[in-house]
Amino acid sequence: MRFFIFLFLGFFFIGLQSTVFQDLPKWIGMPDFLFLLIVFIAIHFPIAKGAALTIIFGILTEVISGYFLGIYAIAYLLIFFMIKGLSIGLAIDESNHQPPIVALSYLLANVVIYACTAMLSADNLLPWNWGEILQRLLIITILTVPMNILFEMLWKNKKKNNDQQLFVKLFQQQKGNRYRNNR
Amino acid sequence: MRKKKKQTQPIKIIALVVVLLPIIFYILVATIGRQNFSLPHRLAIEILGPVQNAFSKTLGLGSNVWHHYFSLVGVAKENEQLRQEIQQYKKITSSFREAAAINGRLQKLLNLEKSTKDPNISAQIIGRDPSLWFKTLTINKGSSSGISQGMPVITAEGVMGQVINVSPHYAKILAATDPNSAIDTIIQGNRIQGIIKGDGHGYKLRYILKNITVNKGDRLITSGMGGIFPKGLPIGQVDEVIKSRRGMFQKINVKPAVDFQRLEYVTVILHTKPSSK
Repeated sequence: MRFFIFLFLGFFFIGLQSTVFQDLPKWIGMPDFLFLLIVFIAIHFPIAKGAALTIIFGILTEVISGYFLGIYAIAYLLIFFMIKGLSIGLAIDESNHQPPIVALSYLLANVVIYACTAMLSADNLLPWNWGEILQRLLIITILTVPMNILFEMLWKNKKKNNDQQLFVKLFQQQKGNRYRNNR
Repeated sequence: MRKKKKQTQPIKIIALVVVLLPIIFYILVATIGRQNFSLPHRLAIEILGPVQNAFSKTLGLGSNVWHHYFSLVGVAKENEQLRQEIQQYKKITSSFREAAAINGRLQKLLNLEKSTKDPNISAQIIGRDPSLWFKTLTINKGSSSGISQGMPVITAEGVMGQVINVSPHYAKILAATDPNSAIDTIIQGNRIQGIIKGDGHGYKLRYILKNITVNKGDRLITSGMGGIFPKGLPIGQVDEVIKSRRGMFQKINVKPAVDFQRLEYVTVILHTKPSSK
């Protein structure tokens, strides 16, 4: 169920970023909610489901963005595994630890996209604009904590529902050793 | 029994990491750089298209309400300014009509063939590229409307881009301002040919030798040489000419004829054969 909730959220963010956010004033920049969602998925989801969601988001992004296909899926998947690896050794699931990781991984994702495009089309080098990159980095770093709280709410809300269902199940199992199944 | 379960769990994870992930990576790397939509891409755009359409319509409705009811401050002043502009345009239109009439007479005199117009179709822009790097747009018409890869996309102001990917009901357009775009061009005044490349925001005119005079304000049109765009479509105006010491060519910045920020509708020219009119 969580898989579909976050999948729907990804769809919503891609739709939002490619339409409504395009009309935002230039000085505000363009917040990349989808990237924040991918970081959250990398930290919280199990590998298989998280990777599947990340690939789906990569494919969805590349149908509306870019000239060459396949770049976003690769870049997002690399970021997913990098954060997944970090989350095993470090306590990055806490909100206040995430902004630097998000900023670094966002920069890395853009480097991967830039490098892949440069390799595929060496004659048409993309203009590397530090101003815009730093602006986006700043926005995404600022938005990390509030968006993470929102995602946590969705995540925990589902977990709470699961716990409630579990409680009902436990309550119904009155006979015998009720702890046996929970070991 | 429990021990077996515990033992199989890490084996499953290792199997996933060692076998499945490299396969996924291999498939993804193998598809990198493709320019045609595969089945997952077509499916993705067909699902995402209605979402973008809904957002675009809601945005359009909100914008309409804002412009018609809330944003009327200073409208009298703007009205006056527009009236003056209309007067100016009437004069320009009048001179254009005269020029068209002369052109028509000359064409008859020279027994030139009348140029046949290619069929075309209008489409609405429903989404724009949210990335830092690329300039692509999504339109609400696709292969079911006769659109195919490589078709030129124009607006009333001039060249806008070309179709790069198509699904049954949607198509992706590469804007002429994208660094991957290249269009054959002619400077209208001196008929010198060059290549217009996108630089993310505007255009750069490439391969113009230093001994050729190019002035600010010179108009650029399509040459028809690339086989994609028909000849004579407006591209833009020369904005800046830089002649640096090194190199054979001038650096020329061009201001696009089309305002890419305000685009809502575009026209796709439905020609399948290379046009060299």
